Amino acid sequence: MNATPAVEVRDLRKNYGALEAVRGVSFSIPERTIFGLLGPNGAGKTSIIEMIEGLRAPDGGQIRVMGLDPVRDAIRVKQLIGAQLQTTSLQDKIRVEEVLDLFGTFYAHPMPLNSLLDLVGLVAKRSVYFQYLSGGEKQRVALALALVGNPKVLFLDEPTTGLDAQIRRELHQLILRIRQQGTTILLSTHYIEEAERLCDLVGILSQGTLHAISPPKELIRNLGEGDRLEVTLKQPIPLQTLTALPGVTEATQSDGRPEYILRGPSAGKMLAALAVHADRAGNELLEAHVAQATLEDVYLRMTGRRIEHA
Amino acid sequence: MHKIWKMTWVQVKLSYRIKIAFFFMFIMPMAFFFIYAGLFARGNPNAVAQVMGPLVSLSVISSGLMGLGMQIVMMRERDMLRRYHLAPITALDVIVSRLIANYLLYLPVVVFQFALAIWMFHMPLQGSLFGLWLVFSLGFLSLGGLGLIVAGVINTMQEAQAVNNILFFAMLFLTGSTVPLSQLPHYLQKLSLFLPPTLMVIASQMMMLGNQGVAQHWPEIIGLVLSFIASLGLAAPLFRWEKEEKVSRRNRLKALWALAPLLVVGIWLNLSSGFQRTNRPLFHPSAQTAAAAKAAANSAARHLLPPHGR
Repeated sequence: MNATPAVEVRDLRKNYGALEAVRGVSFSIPERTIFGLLGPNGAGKTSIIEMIEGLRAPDGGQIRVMGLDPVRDAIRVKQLIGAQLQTTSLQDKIRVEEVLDLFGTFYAHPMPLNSLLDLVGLVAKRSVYFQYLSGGEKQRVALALALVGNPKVLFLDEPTTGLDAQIRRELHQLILRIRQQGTTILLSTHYIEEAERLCDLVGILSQGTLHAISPPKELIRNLGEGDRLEVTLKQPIPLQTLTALPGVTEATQSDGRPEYILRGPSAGKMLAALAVHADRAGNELLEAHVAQATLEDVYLRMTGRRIEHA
Repeated sequence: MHKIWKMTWVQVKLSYRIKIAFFFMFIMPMAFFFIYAGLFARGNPNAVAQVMGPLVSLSVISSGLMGLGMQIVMMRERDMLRRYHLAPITALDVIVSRLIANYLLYLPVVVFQFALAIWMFHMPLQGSLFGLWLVFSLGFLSLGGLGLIVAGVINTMQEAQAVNNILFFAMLFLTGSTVPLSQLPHYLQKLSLFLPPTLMVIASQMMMLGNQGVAQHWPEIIGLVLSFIASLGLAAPLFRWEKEEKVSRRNRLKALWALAPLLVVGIWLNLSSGFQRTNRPLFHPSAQTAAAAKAAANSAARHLLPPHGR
């Protein structure tokens, strides 16, 4: 396996006036990896991706894509990459096959048109004008434009924002198929489940700062969160009492109501301990819900903020 | 080159699919044809020949200067250029393909106007056809280049409309495209020689009225060539893909270099006695009347007198 990373970013910075949108971000993406930048709107994900693509000039730092500088070697880099923007605008009266055929001529080794249409599921829509496509179909066209050059590195900026769950799942399957063909993928998202499902590596981004980079499971494991138990009791109970229970490492309460979130290595152990305590104290366990820690918990722990869903 | 031709071909196809574009490309020029030939020239064959140069100049100003520049500004404002920016193509690729596409849309209309003038109004077609084609083509490319420079230094559609309207009306009234050059005050006649459409009007009118060719109008042709080269040379570096990318003052000043060849040519033509002598009929009413009478007589002689040897 080639040791040179597909994408390497060192101390990347970007300012928009007084706003420091990207603050000294560094990471590298090995080949054939799906790397996810996870963060809410305004975290700096798009700015980072656009600088790597060569659409924006960085204010500091260094970027290499397949060993090339995306500013100095722009045309060479663009032959190697494909990119799906957050929103893709094309001429209203251009047909799907026309735009893919046109963009195919820009590349040295384009993907055959029929294969591309088949891959993204647009064979039936090949002769339709762009303006008459649905939102999901337009995203597929955008993805097809990103794939038309048979890229070594693919950039997907919030590829499933605004799409329904069914189409999102289909696109996820497509992205995994693309990775299986050997393409390196940098994906930005604010959907936790998308990052958990697709990404080999996840970078937690908040307010222009990269807090951690690891495989999702490792990030969760390193958090030490274990399981999460959400309970509703008949009567309130002091948080100190809950944290003193066997197996409970942390307890939080919702707005003064007798609803609590307990964290610990084992949900079963916490539930058993709570049930015994409640019975002895004359209290009653009304509701219990077990959940494993997710990247959202990781994000909250690392940044002190919740990810806002669009 | 293949990608340029592909972009050109797609652009030509798209223009025919958009009704409003078809209106400006074909309907309006034909309306002006009937106004100029039917009303101004009153259907008189030689008068029609006299107005064809200004008529074509009007098309060049509107489609070359205004149409091309506004298309680029519109695409940038709608983020369409952004998608092309991600592809391995250069600004020059986009500019050249746009110029060629608009030229291929403009030229058939001019040919049709000439054909209609000959068929409907029996306009005599004197002078060098090659010369006429050369002058009209260079005029279009020169104005198109200027339109692209305006697009490069303007931020929004509103600004572009304002600037283009100022240039449009200035060229409309100062170049012989509407008001005959002989009707302008002396100082405006001198000023008109600094504007590319004037060179086109002068060369085309004298070719058609005076049965002249390229050899007699090489100063105008050189002027148009220089204007085109300068404007194309500046249009590429000034080209902007992103609407957020604001124009620097430095670039706006750089755009003024496009005026340099126009200044040189304008000063040269104003001082050139040979040029003044060759084109005197267009600048002096009495000389124009005499030239028109001579052209009419030559035309009548060719139609009425039997050919030698019969």
